[in-house]
Amino acid sequence: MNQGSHHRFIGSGRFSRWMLGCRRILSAVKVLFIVMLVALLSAQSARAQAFPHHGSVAPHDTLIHALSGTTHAIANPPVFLSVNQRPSNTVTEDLSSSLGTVPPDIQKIMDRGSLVVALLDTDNPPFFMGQEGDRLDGLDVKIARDLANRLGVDVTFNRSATTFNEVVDTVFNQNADIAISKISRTMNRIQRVRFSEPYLRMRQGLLVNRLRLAQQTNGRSVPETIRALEGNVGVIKGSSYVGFLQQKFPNASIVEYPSWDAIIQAVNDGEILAAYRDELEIKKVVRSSPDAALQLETIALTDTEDPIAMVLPWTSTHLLAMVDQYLDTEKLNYSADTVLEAYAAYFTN
Amino acid sequence: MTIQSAIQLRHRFSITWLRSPWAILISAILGGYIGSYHPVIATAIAPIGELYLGLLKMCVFPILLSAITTSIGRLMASHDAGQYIRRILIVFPIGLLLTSVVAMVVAMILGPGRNLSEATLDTLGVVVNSSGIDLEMSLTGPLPQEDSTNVASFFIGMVPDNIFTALSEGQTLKVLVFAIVFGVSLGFLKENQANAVFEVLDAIFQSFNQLIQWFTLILPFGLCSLLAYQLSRQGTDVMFAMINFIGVALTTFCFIYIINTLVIWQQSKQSIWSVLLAVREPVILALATSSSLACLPSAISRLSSGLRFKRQTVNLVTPLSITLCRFGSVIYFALGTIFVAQLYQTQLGITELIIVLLGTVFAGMATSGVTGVLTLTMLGLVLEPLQLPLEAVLVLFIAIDPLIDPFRTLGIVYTGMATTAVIADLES
Repeated sequence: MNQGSHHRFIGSGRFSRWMLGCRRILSAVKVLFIVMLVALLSAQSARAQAFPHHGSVAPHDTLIHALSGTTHAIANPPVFLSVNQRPSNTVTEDLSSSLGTVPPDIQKIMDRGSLVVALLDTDNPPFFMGQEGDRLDGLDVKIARDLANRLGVDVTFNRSATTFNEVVDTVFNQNADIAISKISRTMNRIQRVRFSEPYLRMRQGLLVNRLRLAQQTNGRSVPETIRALEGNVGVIKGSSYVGFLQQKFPNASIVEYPSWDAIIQAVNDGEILAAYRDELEIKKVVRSSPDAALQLETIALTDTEDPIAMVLPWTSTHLLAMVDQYLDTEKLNYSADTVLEAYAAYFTN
Repeated sequence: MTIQSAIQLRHRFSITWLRSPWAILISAILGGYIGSYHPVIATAIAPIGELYLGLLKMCVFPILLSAITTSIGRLMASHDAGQYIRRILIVFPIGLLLTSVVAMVVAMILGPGRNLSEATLDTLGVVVNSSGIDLEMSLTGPLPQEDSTNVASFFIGMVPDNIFTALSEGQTLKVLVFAIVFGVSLGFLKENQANAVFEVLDAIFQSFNQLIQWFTLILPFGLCSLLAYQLSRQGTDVMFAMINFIGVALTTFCFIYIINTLVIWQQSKQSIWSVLLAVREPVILALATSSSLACLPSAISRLSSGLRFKRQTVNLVTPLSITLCRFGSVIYFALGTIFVAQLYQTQLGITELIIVLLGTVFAGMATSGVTGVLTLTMLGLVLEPLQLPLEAVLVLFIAIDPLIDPFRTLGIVYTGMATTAVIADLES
């Protein structure tokens, strides 16, 4: 029944005219579609060239093109690296020979054939003690020799400075390549020279005359008395502790002494209430002369620090980098107690 | 007939020879030998001494509580309460001040801290250094809280806010205060009401006294072990460096021992030999145990049953004098203070000497609440007003304390007994 009705439609003139209209519309749609497709494709290929990764809806050839571009970008660097790696020595040699760029601070030491290390003139065991030459010994001397050894040069010690500040000056005036002389890292000093990473982290310490302290407590605990410390406190002239004392104990009066021995004598005799220095020096006193332990009390101030570092001229940036790397690889990070332990034999003898 | 056979039986299986002075002497010599030459054996037999000491200490608090409560209660009920209280209030302070003066005079004459050689100071310094008393403190942040010992906190600390806590933690002073207060209130009750309590407390006292009597049978074993262990842990280096002070201390304690013996002999009206025999047990216990509390039951029983002092008075006065007066500590602190002053070359004027006198009495009494090393830190109560440093010498005193402690304990117990002999009348 449906088939019959179909044939009847084809046969009629009204229907054929309708069909013709349909065909025209259909062809017009076809043309429009093709135009739109072409427009779309051309736009897509343009985008694919600009953003090669963003090609998910792009036609095949564009996508391949984009991918091949990406492949290039990834594949090229290893090729570049592997090409460059093999003849790397020749490249550096070429650079050095053509430009002469061994850092000037290192070159100076190489040319001289020795590393000049500034040291305080008076001995300071266990950091530097003994005569010049082979008998000179200590933690700082050991580090200096090791550094020179790494550089492949000799070591020369410049012991012209009489105070710690003068040691810093020696380096600042380029009369030494480096100072390894138990120098405290302070804000004052870094205005003129550069410091390595600390190789010894200490706290500050007080060496207190027990009797004088007992006369000052007045029912307060020892920590309470120390915080409000009054009276004469001895420090080494031209050491960082002059500044520390003003900062930490504003009520105490500063007495500057030329030598540490003079200060110890003064505390022992009760002329001054306390001596102020790093905890290592403080503990050294009662260890090396135990008969003083009944008179003198050692106090380590836990919230203070006295980092000991090497001093370099501010221009010696490459030597500084080398020193820091040396400290890092050798794991040189002492504390007062580990130094005292390492050199315990020195104090008991 | 039955009595006769019982005596015979006892003679046949007697172990009472363990109570004889000879058994004690032999065990002391044996203990001394083992402690000096065989420290390993000394450590091995140490548990016997600990066991013995534990048994003795077990009896202390029941005896302390029952003895003081009943004797004070009965004293209050009787009419001569005022007389005894007056005697106690006179004799205790005079005794304390006298012992302090004696020790001060001996120390000032012999001068243990004067002119020490450099070698001696070196040895002492090594001891001080090795104790690791380097102070570590911060300059900022909150100050560490310290337990301060002053007069006010001492008196507040005497009153127990919970008597059972005080008993279980063995806080002697608090138990003592409670026993006194309890006894006084019992004494003011009508007689019939308190009698039952007194009987119970009496029974407790008698039974624990009986235990103490039995324990004397194992005294030789305990003594041997305790002495051996004590001798085996004496350090020699410090001893030699402190030999001056140790010598003076031992001389003073011996002197005090002789005076005490004479006092007890005078008061007991017995021969000197029977006095020495009667007090031998608490004396030996004091030397062997270094614990004055452990000697308390024995001291009470020897004074009342051995030397025939009035039981009721002895029951009250002996615990009070041994736990509260602490004569031995007073003597030692007086010696120590003079020693420190000499060591730091400080001249003591009249004012300072009065501070030493009163300070040592107070510091000595303050040790009744504490044990161990804390006893020695009480020396700070005297040194602080004198503005003398304590920390360094404290290390030295701690180092020699194993040797000093037995004699200090003897000073506490024996002087306490002598004080009791002065206060108490003889049993009629």
